[in-house]
Amino acid sequence: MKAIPIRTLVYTALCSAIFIVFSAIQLKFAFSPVPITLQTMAVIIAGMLLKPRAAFLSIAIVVVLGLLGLPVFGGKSGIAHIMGPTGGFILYFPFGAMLISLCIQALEAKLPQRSLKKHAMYLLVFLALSSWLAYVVGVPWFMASLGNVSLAKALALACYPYVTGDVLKSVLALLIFFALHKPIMQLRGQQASRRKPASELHM
Amino acid sequence: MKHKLMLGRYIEGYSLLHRLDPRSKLAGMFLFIAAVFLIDSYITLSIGFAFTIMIMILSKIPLTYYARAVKPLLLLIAFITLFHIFFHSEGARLLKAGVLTVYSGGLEKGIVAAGRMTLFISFAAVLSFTTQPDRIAGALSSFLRPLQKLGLPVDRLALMLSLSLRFVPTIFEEAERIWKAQVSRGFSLAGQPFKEKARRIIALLVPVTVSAFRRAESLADAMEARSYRLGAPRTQYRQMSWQQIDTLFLLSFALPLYFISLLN
Repeated sequence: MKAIPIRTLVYTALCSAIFIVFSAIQLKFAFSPVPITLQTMAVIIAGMLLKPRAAFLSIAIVVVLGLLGLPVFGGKSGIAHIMGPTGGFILYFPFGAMLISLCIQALEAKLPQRSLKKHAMYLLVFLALSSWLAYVVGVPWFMASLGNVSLAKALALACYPYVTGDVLKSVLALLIFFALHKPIMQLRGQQASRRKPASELHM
Repeated sequence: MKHKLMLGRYIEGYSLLHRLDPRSKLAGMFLFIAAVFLIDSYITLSIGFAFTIMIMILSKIPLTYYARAVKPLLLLIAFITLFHIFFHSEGARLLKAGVLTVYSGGLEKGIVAAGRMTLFISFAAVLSFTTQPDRIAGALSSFLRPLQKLGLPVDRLALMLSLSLRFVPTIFEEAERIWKAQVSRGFSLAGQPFKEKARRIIALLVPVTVSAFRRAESLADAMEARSYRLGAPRTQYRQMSWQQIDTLFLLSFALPLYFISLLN
């Protein structure tokens, strides 16, 4: 049983690294003047593949590294990002990952694994909602950081242009989750079978 | 891929700052952040800049490197500056341009906000230019050690930090390899409708992620094979040593803190 924490710990560190790598990838679409980063998708993936506490820690580690000055947010100095008007969104990421993980846990507890796809719509709605929840933290932070900003102004600048992109990222992340779920479960299955006690092998 | 940007900002050198204990540099950064938060006027801003430029010169790294560190955030800085200039109405009116009006108070607030942001970026760059990432992680673990008494699993967090930093270049290399393999098979993201582009992004991201998880499994196995057990007492191969110069370096941060507080 002691082997499990090591594996969880390694997975958590891995999801941190995936977040850092995805933050450096930007995609441009014709319909949006703002390039869409895969940063939030990494948050969603961490939430989907890790347990709640591990999901929180994996993103929190990156936020801490950013605060220390490492360029973990797409090559930009993290501390300026977090101290700036968009810092609230970054600080929400660990909690977003934890929320997603809790939702996945609840769904898997209620549903057999093979029927997870049948409830993709519920998953998608929740992913979009958890993305939008970031604005509950990000917009007030935006207002406080700039000072003397009305709610309508902050929403127009920091919220409305990005809502569509969040939905698209949720769709992409959901598809990636279904594509990833099987191979990763297979990986874990292999490892689990290899850890059988010796007595069982001789039965 | 912007491989060079990711954690590869350490610049080899033998300056005074390179030789300092990473803990003193990290503590210095925390003190510096406190000082910058107190800046709210042209005078205090100039004190912050004078101190920062002095530190930059001590690092013996060309100023162009620091300019390059600030560049990715220029848009954000410009946005903050213009926002303050046009939406604060304090002090004497300087300019009237249609709906927008510029006041001296707003202008000062804008320039001070831009200056503070630049100072944050510059000092963070000093830290990452002169300190290897794993040493920064080591210093952070050292600072977190007192929290062990509060129940925080510091050793596990330290290990997660180290593993995370180690995974990043590996995943980047893997992503680059898969990207090139796909491109050699006719993969292209240019000029595609959204649905096709999304499908291709998945074709790129799924193997990267699965490969990363497979590597994580191998690493966990290897650690167990080398008798690693969480919670067991362990020694440290990499040691940090505090010198007298570290104390002097840390005390020097008292100067800007004192003068900025005095002039507020």
